[in-house]
Amino acid sequence: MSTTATDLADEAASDQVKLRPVVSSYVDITDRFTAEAAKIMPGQLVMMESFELVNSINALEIMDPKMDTGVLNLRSNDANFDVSAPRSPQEILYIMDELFALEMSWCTGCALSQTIYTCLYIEHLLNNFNGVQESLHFGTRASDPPSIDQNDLDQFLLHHALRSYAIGVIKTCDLMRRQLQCKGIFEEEDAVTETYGLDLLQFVSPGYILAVIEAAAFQIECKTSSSDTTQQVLTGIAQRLNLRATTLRTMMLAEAPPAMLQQLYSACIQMADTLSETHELAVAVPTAFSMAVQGRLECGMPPRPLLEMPFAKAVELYQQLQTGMSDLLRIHEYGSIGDIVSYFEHFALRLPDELPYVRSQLHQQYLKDGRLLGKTTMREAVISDITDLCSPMPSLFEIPSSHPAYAALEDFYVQAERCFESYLTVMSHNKCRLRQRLCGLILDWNALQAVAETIESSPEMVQFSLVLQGNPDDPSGGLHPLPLSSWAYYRKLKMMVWIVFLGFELDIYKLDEWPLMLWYVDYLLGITDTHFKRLETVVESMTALHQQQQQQQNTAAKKNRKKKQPQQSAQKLDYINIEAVPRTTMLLTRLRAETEIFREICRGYLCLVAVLTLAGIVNPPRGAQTSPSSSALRTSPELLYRIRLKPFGPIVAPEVPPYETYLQLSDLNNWTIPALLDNAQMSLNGAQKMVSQLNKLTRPEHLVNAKLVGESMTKTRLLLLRSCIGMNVSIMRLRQMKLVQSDGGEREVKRKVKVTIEQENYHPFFPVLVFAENEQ
Amino acid sequence: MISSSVQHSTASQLSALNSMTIEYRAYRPPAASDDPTQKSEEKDLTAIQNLIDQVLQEPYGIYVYRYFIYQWPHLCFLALEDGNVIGVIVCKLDPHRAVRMRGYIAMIAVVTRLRGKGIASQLLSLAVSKMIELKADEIVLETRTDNEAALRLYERLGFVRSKRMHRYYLDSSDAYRLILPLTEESTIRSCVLASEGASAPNEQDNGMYV
Repeated sequence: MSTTATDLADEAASDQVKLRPVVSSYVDITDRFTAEAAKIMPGQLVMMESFELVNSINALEIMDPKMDTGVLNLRSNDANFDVSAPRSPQEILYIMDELFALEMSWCTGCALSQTIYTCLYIEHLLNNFNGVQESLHFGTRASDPPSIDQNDLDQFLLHHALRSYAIGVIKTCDLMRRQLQCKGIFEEEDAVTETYGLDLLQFVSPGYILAVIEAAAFQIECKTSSSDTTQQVLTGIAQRLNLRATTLRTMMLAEAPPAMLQQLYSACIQMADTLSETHELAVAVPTAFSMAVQGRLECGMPPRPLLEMPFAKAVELYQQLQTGMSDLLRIHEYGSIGDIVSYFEHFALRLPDELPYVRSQLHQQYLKDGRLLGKTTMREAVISDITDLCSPMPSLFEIPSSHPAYAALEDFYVQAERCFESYLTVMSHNKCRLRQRLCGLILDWNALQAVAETIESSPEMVQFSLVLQGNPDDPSGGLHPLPLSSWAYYRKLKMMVWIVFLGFELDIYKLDEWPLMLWYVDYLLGITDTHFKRLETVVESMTALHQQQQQQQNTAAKKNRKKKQPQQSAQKLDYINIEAVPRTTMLLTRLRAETEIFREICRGYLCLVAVLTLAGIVNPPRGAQTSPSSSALRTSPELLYRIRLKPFGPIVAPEVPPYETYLQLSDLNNWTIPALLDNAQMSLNGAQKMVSQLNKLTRPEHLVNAKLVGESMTKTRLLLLRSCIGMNVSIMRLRQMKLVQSDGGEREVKRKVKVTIEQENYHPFFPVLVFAENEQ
Repeated sequence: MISSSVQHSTASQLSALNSMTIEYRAYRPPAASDDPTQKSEEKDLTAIQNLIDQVLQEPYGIYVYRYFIYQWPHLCFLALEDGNVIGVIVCKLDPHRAVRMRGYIAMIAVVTRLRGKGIASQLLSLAVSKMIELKADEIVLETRTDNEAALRLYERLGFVRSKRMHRYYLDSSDAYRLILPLTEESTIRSCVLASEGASAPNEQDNGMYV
């Protein structure tokens, strides 16, 4: 039986629920469905194999208020709200400020349905909009704009100020939203770009909207009022419109010269400062915002709470957004490709975390189409990175296509480009996702290293594998430069270290796991330092060889000149990129110093947590019992060791040490508590000293690949100093407690000492432990 | 997805539990009847749904309950006081990436007035023991990063935090993924197990209710 939409509508009307038909005709299968469903017994399940957990979560129960946004709409009074009713200046101010706060909530990753869309004025504009910009008004019908008495201040403010502001907010969201849809940003996690079937004025020109806002701002600035309060409010409204115009302008001029954009961002930050002066004058209109809007959207999600933030916080976030955008422009001041890579790395670890829009711009503007700043190819970036680290002979990168190693090398470079681009892409992720992605990337770089090693050990590459005279006792017979695999190995080690340290920052490790993770990261840092030492030796040896050959050539040329014999053309020396050597030397020096600082701090922390273990304050991880009343273990310390180091399991070099090796090498049980505290203090003091020495190296030649991150490095080192000082204070506290080695009375000791982990104002990789006597 | 509302229990509270009339049992599917006109009710399921709706924030439809409880009824345990459901744990166990058997704790809830008495611990132990019996390689769950009581409960039973998930919940809170490793397979990355040709046991072998 076919039922028309009209029949259904009539039936629905009789139940006092108005339904809008979605198709023109229906076939009613209710009876058939009911009969079939009756055959299923309670407890039975009929399910397609493809029906997964996510489908069950997404399935909504109609008329359940927890799940069905339509119920919100049935119970709301929004239909009684008249958007065309005049509003006082103070009320207009309130609505504008609420919209601003909701916009900032959206910028932090909330959905439009729980932020901007909850404004009934925005809803009205978007529902009225029929593709023609003149339909954007608060009249009842799109084709019927309201007539406005220009001399009536309330009407004027509603239909010019609020209208233009609201349109500006919508357009800003539209422009931002498009940028947020990029590889660096994860939908639902970082940002929600869903528009729920509404058009965010995507085809309305930003220029038109800018003109409307600026015209409204100008007209308001010309208005005067006899009331001081009203005059202040009018000033505040004009300021907000001007700020909106400037914000829109920054997005329209994204391709403009950096200097111009810099000025606009600075203006935005300064203008935002003025908003709080008039915010207190606003008068609330709470009925202008409603969660029930979610019931009128094409939304398959359950009701989400309205998410707004305090106005002061919104202003702070807005300024953080503009500051972040302004800072990105500094990338244009780069001196080398390494400067850009360093910027990406520091960006990823920045505190506070950058907003999703800023992160999206790092990817969209500065890694456009897989090119740095849209111009430097990944191939160039890879070669530059290898050169900075190793100064390999230039001919390595100029191999002709006729060379037998050409094809293999080409494959390596293609793979290296992909790895490097992925590495730079993840720098725009949120930190949780960054850590997860790094766990995947280290496998790619592990494979890349293996490819490089195969190439470098092949007979076709013998001309690039000059064996340097090394230790005569070395069974391998000498030192090979191996720049390609050395580079891949360095990048892989760096990511492995980051994975561990990000675990501290994200509070993933319980205190009883700190000994393992600190030991392991110290192990990785030790291997990294050995690798840097090796690279330094190679560079020194190759440089010496180059200089020796140069000297011989000069001597021969001088001799020929004396004998007035014809000069023989000098053979091009190709042992090392001699021009790149100073940069490589300085870079390796700084990398080694930074690695040593981290190692010293790790050792200090290790000694301190060993004290906690010896004193019985922290128990080493042990298997957990099957149940509170059972002594049977369901998991073992070795399993816990392996699960913790699981991300690194497939890595061939450095491989994860066996559990027994870890136990052996990490055993500090023979130390006394006072000796451990002394050692901890010594290590932390040593680290502080090294940081201070590093801070004194401020000449440009010391700042290889650090031109754009000088300030960030200074800030990071300050946080490192704070962590050292903070832990030194904790060491003093422990000394005062006069702890003794536990004899098994764990509970007694645990009740005495409370340990908290403090992260704020310390280096995120090195939170500080704070100790307090527990009250009995 | 995990939602939990538990409080830390000490040994003394657990001993108090013994003197309380709390009964623990597995979920009972509706009894089959020969008479097609006599339909048994989904009593347990209804009680579970009412408890979780009352206690937890996240909205779950009937499909979620049926997805878990009808497929893995043997992994759903109830705590009852005088015949009324006052606590529940809902889990599943199935192959993960075709290389290991992963248990998942979907929901755990105890009525507010009876929290802090070790009921959640008991439910968790029952579920974990059952999953071990069914050859689980690991058990995972998610919980809010600021749910300290839940974290203490799970970590006391050997769970560790494997990762943090940004803005996981509807209110934008972060979550921890917790994992309890039970066998060596749990400590090996899926890509390695897959390349070694490992495959998880057929789920039918675990005596699933169908």
